[in-house]
Amino acid sequence: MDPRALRRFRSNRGALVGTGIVLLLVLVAALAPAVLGLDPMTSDFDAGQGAEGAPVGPSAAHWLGTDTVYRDQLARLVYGARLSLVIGVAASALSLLIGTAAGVLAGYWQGRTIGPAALRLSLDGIIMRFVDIGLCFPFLILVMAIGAALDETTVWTVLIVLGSTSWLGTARIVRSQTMRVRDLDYVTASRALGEGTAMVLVRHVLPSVAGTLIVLGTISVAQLILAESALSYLNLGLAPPTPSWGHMLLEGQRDYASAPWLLAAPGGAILLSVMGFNLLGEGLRDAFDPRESPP
Amino acid sequence: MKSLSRMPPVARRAVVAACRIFVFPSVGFGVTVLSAGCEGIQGPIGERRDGPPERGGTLHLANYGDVRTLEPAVAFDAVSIPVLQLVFTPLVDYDREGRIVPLLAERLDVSSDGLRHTFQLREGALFHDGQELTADDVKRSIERALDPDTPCPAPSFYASIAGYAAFHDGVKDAAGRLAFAPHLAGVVVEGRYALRIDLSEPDATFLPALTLYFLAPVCRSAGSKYARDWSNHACGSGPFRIEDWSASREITLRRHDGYFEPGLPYLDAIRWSLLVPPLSQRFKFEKGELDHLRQLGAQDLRAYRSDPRWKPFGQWEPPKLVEGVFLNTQMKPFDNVELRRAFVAAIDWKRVIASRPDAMVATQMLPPAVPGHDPGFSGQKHDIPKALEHMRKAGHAFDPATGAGGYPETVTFVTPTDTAIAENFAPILQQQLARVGIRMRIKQVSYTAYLAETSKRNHSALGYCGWSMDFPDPSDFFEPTLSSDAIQEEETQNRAFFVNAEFDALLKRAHRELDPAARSAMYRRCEEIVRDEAPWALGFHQRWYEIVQPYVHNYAVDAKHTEDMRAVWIDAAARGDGKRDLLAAIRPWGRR
Amino acid sequence: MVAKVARRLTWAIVSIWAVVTLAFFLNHGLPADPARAIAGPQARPADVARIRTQLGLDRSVWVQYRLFAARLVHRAPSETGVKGHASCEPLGPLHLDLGTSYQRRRPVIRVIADRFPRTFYLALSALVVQVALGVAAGVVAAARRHSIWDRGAVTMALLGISTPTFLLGILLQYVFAYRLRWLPLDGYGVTASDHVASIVLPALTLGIVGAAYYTKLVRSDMIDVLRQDFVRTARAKGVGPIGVVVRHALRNALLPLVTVIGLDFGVLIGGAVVTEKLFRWPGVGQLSVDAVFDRDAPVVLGVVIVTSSAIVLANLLVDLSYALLDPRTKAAGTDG
Repeated sequence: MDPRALRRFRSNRGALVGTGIVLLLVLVAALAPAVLGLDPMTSDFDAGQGAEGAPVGPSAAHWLGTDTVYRDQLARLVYGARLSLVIGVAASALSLLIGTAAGVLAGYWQGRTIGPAALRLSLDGIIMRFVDIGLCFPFLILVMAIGAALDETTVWTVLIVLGSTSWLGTARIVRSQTMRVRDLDYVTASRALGEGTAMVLVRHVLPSVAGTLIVLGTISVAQLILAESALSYLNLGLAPPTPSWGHMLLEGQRDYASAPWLLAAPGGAILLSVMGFNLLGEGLRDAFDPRESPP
Repeated sequence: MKSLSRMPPVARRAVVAACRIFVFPSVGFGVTVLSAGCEGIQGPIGERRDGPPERGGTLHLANYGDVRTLEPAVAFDAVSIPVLQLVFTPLVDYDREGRIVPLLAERLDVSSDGLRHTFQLREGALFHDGQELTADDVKRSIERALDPDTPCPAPSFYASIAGYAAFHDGVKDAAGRLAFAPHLAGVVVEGRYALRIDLSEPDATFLPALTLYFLAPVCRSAGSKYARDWSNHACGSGPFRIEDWSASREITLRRHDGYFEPGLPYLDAIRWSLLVPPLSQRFKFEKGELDHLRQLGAQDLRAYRSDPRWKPFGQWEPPKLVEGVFLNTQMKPFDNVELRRAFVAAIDWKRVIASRPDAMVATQMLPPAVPGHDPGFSGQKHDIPKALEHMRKAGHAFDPATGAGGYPETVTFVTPTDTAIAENFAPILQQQLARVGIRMRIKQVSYTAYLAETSKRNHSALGYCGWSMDFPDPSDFFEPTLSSDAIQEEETQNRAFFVNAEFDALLKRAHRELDPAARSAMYRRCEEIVRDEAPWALGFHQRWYEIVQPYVHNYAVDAKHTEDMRAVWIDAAARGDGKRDLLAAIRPWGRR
Repeated sequence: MVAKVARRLTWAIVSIWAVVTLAFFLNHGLPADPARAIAGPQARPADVARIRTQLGLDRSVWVQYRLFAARLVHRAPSETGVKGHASCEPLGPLHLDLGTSYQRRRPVIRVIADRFPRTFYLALSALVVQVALGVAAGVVAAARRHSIWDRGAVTMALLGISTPTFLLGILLQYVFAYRLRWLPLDGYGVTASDHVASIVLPALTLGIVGAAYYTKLVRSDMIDVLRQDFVRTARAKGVGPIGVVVRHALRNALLPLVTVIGLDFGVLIGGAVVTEKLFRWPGVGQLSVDAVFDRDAPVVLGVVIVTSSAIVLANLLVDLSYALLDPRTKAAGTDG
C-alpha cells in the first residue's frame, strides 16, 4: 500500500473504528463458539423457560437470554455472525469476480463489433444492455422468485443468489475505469510496442482498478450482509433452525413487548457489522482517493 | 481513563470515536423509549351487573382478515362464517349442548330407516326484504347451491340426497353427452311450509352438514342460479341484515325486525371492522372501541390470562383443530410401523408446544369440540425407553450414551414457512427425535408448495399435517385424512397414504350408522387404530381465547359457532354510553 | 432530439419486454401447483383438476408464453361484449390484459390498480421525507463544516446507511406505536385520517434510510460548489451567507440530486417490499411477496411489468429532463 494512503488511513478515526469492528467480528465468529462452548440449537427447558412458556431475559445461564424456543440467544448471535460474515464476504467476492470480468470485457473491447457487420453488435453493447435490463428488474422480486424456486436453501444457494444478482453496478464502474486506462497514452504505447492483451490487462488495467475493487468489495460486504438479513427476515434465507440475524429479528419481532432483548441483540449485531464494513470501505476510499476526504 | 491514556494513540482515537458514534445516540434513544408510555394491559371498562337483558346498542367487533364474499353457497372461510351465521339461518342448527335442533324448521321428522327427512317450516318467518320464507325458497336455495355451475367448495357433503348425481354430476346419455337433471329429485315441496328431503342411503353426516350455511335459504333476489355480484347485497333470514358493506373496511349489520325467534336479537347493530391487525385490536379494545377480543398474540394472551382483573371475562373456545405430523406409511423409512411407533413415543408434545399458550396437547384425533372426543382416552404417549425399544425392533437400535446407531439417513420434515410449526415446533421436534436416533432436517416451503408436495404419492416421507373442523362430526376428521378412499396419486388429503382394511370398514359403517352409541364405539376403535398404527403423530389442538368487556352479556362459546353474537346484549349504563357520547361531542378528537 | 427520444423510447420498450420475458420463464420454473392454491387446502381433488384445465395450465410452456404475449397488448375487439375480454383494460385502441389472478379471481390489472395508489402515496411521502431531511442535513453540514452539526449529520448518515429498513421500522413501531401509542402500529386504516396517521411510520422508515444517502450526496456536492469561483465572487459582492448557500450553492448542487430523486422514485414505485411487509401496507410490494408465495403467476408478472416499467420510465424521464435542463449534454453522445 502507498505509504501516504496508509498514513491517511491511520489518521481517519472512522476507518479505525471500522477496522476494529471488522476485526472484532472476525474474531468472535472464528473463536467465540469454541471458547464459550455455546450450543445454538438446543432448547433449555429448565433455566431457559420462564413463566407461562415465555422466554427468559439475560441471566447467568444465558447472558443474552433465550429465544422463543428457549435456545441461548448469545450462541445464536455468535453462530449468526459466522454465517453473515461468510455469506457477505463470499458473495461479495463472487459479485466482484463477475462484475470485474464483465466490466473489463465490455470496457476493453468497447467500440469493436462482432458478428455480421450489418447487425452492429458489440460485446460491450450486449453486456451493458444486459446490465441495463438487469437494473430494471426489481431486485427483491428476482431474489424472491429464485429463492422460492429452490428446493432447499443452503449457505451455498444464498451466497450464489446474492453474488450473481449484485454485480451489475460493479460492472458499470469497472467498465468506465477500464476504458479510461485503455486510452491512457502509456497503455496505448505499450500496446503499440506489441504487448499482448493479457499482459495489458494484468499489468495496467487490473492494477488500476484494484483500489476501486477493494473499496467496492468492502462496501458490498456491508450491502450483502444487509441483503442476507433482509432475505432471512422475509423467510427466504436459510431455513430455521439455522441461526441467522435477519430471521432472529423476525422471531423477536413477535415478542418485542415482553422480550425486547430478542430484538436488541440481532438488531445491534446487524447494525454494528454493517457499519463496520461501511466505515472501513469509506476509510479505504478516502485513503486511496484523497479528493473526497476531509483535509 | 487511565487505561485509555496508556493505549496507543491509534486505538485511543478509535475508542473515543466509537463512544461518539454509538454510545451517545443509544443512551439518548434508550431514555426516550423507557420514559414513555405504559406497557401493561389496561383493566376492564365498566362492570358486570346482573339484570334482565337490555335491548339496543351497537356492538363493535374487528377481524384481522377480510371478508371476500358473503354468498352462503360459496363462503367457506373463518372470516366470513361469523358474519354468515348472523345473516342466514340453516334449517337445523346445533344448540349450546351440541345437539342438532330444528331452527328455521319448526319440526323435523326422520323416518326410521333414516332416509326421509320431513321439515315443517315456521310460518311467518321473513326474509330481510320482507317476503315470507316458504318451502319453495328452501328448495330453490338448495338447488342454487348444488348447481354444477356454482363454485360451491363442498357440494359432496350433500351427495347422499337422492338424485344428487343426476343433478350435480350429470349422466351420460346414449350419444355420450352429459345431461343434467333440471331439479334435485330428493328435495320435494309438499306444501307452503312443508318440505321433504329424501336420501339415497342412510347418512349420519347429513344433518350435521345441513347446519352449515351452504344450503341456507336466500332471498328471491338471489334467483335460482348463482351470480357473482349478488354477494354484495346478500339477503337471508337471519337475525341481522347487511346494512352496509364497504369492501375491506367495515360491515354494518342492522337488526332484522322480522326475525322469527321471539325477542331476538337484542342488539340494534353490529359493526365489524376488517383488516385490523391484532395489536391494534388490543389497543382499541383497551379504549373500549372494541367490545370483544379474540385475535391475540402469544404475549398478549399470556398477559390477559394471568391478569386477575380479566379472568372472569375470558374463556377458551372449544378446540376445533388437530395438528401433528404425518408419517408416510408407503415410503421409506416410515413404511416400518416400529419406526413410526418409535417416532411417536420420542416426542414430548408438552415441551414442543411450551411456547404457545394457545395450544393444548392432543391425545386423539378428535378435538374437544367434536362429539366423540373422549377426555379419558389413553392415546399416544411420550416414552423414551419405549421409543428406543421400538427403534431396536425396527432394526435401528440406538445408544443414547454414545450416539451410535439409529436410523442411518436424515429424514426431511416438510412444513409451511412462517408458521408456528416451522418456527417454534419443528426445532424442538428435531432435538427430541435426535435422542432416539432419528435425524431430521426441516424443509420450509410456501403453504401452497407444502400442499402440493405432501399430497403426492411417494413424495414426502414426513411433514406437518392438520385438520380443522368443517362440521362437528367425527366422520369429518377421519374420512378425508386417513381413509384409503381419500388416496389419490396427487392432491390427496391422506398424506400418510394410510391403508387399513379394518379402519376403512369401520368408517363406512359409521357413516351409515344412525345409533349414536354404536357410532361412537366405532370411532373409538378408529382412534385406537390411529394410536397403534401411528400414521400420524398426534400433536396438539390449537384453540382461541376470547375476552369480552364486562358490559357484554350473554356471550357464550360452543362447539359449532364462532364469535356467536346472535343473543348478545349490552349493558349501556355499564359501558358508559351516555358519558361517551357527551365526551365525543365536546372532544371531537376522541378520548385519547 | 426527436431521434434521440425515439431511440430511448424504443430501448425502454425493449427493456420492459426483456424483463417480462425473463420473469415469465423464471416464474414458470417455480414448483407447486397454482390450481391447488386456488382450490384451497381442503378442496376435493376433482375440483382441482377442473381448475387446472380451466386455467390452461396443462399446456406447454411455449404455448402459454405465446398466449400470454398475444394477450398482453392486443387490439380492441371489433364488436363489443366479446368473451375473453373480461380482464382487459382499454387503452385507446389497444387493450391491456394482464390476465386474471389465480388467488383473487379478479383481473390482475384491477388488483394492481387498487394497490398502486397506496404504493404511490407511500413512495411520494417517503421521498418527501428523504429529500427534506437529506437536503437539510446535507446543506447544514456543508455550510457549517467541522461543526458539531456537520459531525452529527455525518454520523446520522452513517447510521442510516447501515440500518436495515426493517430494524428501523421495528424500532419506530416499538417507540411510537407500542410504547407511546401515538401512531397506528401497521395497516392502512379505514378513514382518510387513518391513512394519514398510518403513513407516518412507513414513510419515516423509508425516508430516514434514504435521507442518509442524500445527506452524503448533498454534502459533498455542496462542498464542491462552495469552493468554486462563482460562489466566491458572490461572497465578494456582499451576498450574505444564507443567500450564498441557498441561492447559489444549493441550486447548483441540486441538479445531480434531481437524477437521483427521479431514479429513486422509480424504485419506490416498484414497492418497498420489506417495509410494506413490516407495516402490512397493502401496496404493490406486499402484493408481490404474497404473489410469489402463493404462486400467483399472473400477479407476479403484472407486478414485474408495472415495477420495471416504472423504473424504465423514471430512467427515461431523468435522461430526457437532464438533456433539457443541462445544455452540455445536448452535444454529448448517447453513452451514459
